Amino acid sequence: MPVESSLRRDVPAPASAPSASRPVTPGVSPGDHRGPGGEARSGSPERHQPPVIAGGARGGDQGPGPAARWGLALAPAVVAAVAAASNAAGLLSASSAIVGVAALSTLWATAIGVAYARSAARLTRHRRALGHDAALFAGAPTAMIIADGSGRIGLVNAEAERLFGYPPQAMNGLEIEALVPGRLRGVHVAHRASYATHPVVRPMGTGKTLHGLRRDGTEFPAEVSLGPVESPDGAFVVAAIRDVTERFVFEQTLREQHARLEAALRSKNRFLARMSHELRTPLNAIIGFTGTLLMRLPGPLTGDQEKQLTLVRSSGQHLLSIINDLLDLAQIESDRVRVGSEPVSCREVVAEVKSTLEPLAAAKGLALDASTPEPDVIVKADRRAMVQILVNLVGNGIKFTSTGGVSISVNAGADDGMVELSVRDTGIGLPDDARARLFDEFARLHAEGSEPYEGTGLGLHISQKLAGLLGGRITFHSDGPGHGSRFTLHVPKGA
Amino acid sequence: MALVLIIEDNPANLALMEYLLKAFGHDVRTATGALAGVERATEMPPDVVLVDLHMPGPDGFEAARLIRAHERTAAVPLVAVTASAMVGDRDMILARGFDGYIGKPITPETFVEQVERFLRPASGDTA
Repeated sequence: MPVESSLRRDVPAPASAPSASRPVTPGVSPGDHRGPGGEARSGSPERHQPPVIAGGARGGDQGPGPAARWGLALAPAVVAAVAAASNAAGLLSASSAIVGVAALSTLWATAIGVAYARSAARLTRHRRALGHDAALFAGAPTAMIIADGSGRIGLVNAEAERLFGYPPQAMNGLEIEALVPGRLRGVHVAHRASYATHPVVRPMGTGKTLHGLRRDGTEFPAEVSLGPVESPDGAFVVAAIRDVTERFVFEQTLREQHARLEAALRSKNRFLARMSHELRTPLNAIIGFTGTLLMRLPGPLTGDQEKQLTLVRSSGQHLLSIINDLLDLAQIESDRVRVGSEPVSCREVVAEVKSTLEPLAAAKGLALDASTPEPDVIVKADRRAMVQILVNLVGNGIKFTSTGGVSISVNAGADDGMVELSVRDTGIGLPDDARARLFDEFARLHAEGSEPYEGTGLGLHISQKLAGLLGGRITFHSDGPGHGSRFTLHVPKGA
Repeated sequence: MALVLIIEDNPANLALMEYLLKAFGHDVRTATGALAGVERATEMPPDVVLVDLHMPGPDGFEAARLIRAHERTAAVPLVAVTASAMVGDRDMILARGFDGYIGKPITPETFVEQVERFLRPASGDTA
């Protein structure tokens, strides 16, 4: 029968010859000779249950007859008879089965190995039950091991033997923990216990790195998938084991590189935060004492002195704004900016922005109009972030406008349900080719044939990032060079 | 005119604040560390204490805690002077014993006015 031959070929049983009459197992006293009836009282669970015969053996119901069936039920209970049992799946003649039973019966007295013998028997019958699947199991390109509920190996395939470095058959009967490094055995037993309570097909020890122990004592990282095998003889577990050394090494390298990268990013951000603090401290004194001189606290100033001190102060303030931008950027990039999400009054925000920048606009002779909404519009945002964005947009408007003015307006009736805060200016506008890079880091606007405008090119980039943190965005519109610009902050409506 | 104690480790910043306050007629004492500052505060006690938050060793928060813990200075207004005035910092600064804070860099034109806002009517104008 093809099934049987393939089973024999691919999964050699411990006793490869189908010998029910094989000599007794070492350690078993041949002198003690009891019949099958005597064995019944020795506590074999098989006799406490109805004589159910697993898998293929059931076919024997219509086959060899009652005696052979009994032989099948009992023969596998002994190690030496495993192969016989597997061959006997409804094929052996009644007489040879009975011979087998007779020979086997001599073994029952020995307590040693009985428990193992039982499980081996169950496994053997299970193997019979596998039928065609046994060939698949034996030749599978993945290492597979079948163990019983107590963790004893009953069946392995050739790939498992190769993976763990054992000669053929040498793994049978081992505790499964023999394949686990000593330091992990306790954990493995726990894994096993937890699997028994919830036996479904799943990976073992999800999220943890498992290790296998080869016969020569070396280890390898392993991935183990478990599946339950139910049979009338009890529950078994089939484990598929893969050597994942390559992936393990790859992942480890990746993890190390990731950690190095994160450390580098952290140190970059620490450096930026520290440097901006260190840079701001002396600026405090530079801007401060320039201020006291300009306040004429120490005494009167000449016209030149005042002009030069004013330059010192404005340069200092410019430097300060660059440092603040860099600090903001470092904090946004390192996700250290936490924006609130609370009801914010647009009217208040617009008023604050207006009062902050009115002196700057007035100094350039520009109008700064703010049409505050009536009634007030409430958005869901972070007030400080909103003010910072609008100060930047209005500040840009002032910077790029020489005649006319800048205006702020609020529109709560947008189609997308967002509130729009628009900043319009009558300035130089923007050529089309500048739009794509407008919100990039360090994007700078160069007007044709003129000096670049002052600034780091971080303002819009930071503003756009802040708008994103608020759940909104900034959009831009210009009718072209010379026609002014309109930047619009879109933020979610308040409750 | 009030008696102002400044606790600040940076000499230039200390000189700036001291100069401005003196220029507007206030009496100023200084300390360059938290513990020395606490000692000076309990000797006087001052009408208001300006405390830099970033100092090596015991920082401004520790100075505030010790000043608050001492019976002579428990009620003295404490003002943090800090460059780290970010979102949420205000609440944290107030929760840790300060009456308010002034952001760095200070604005010379308004600094003295900002400090005077923290003076208690009863303890001001001692001279």
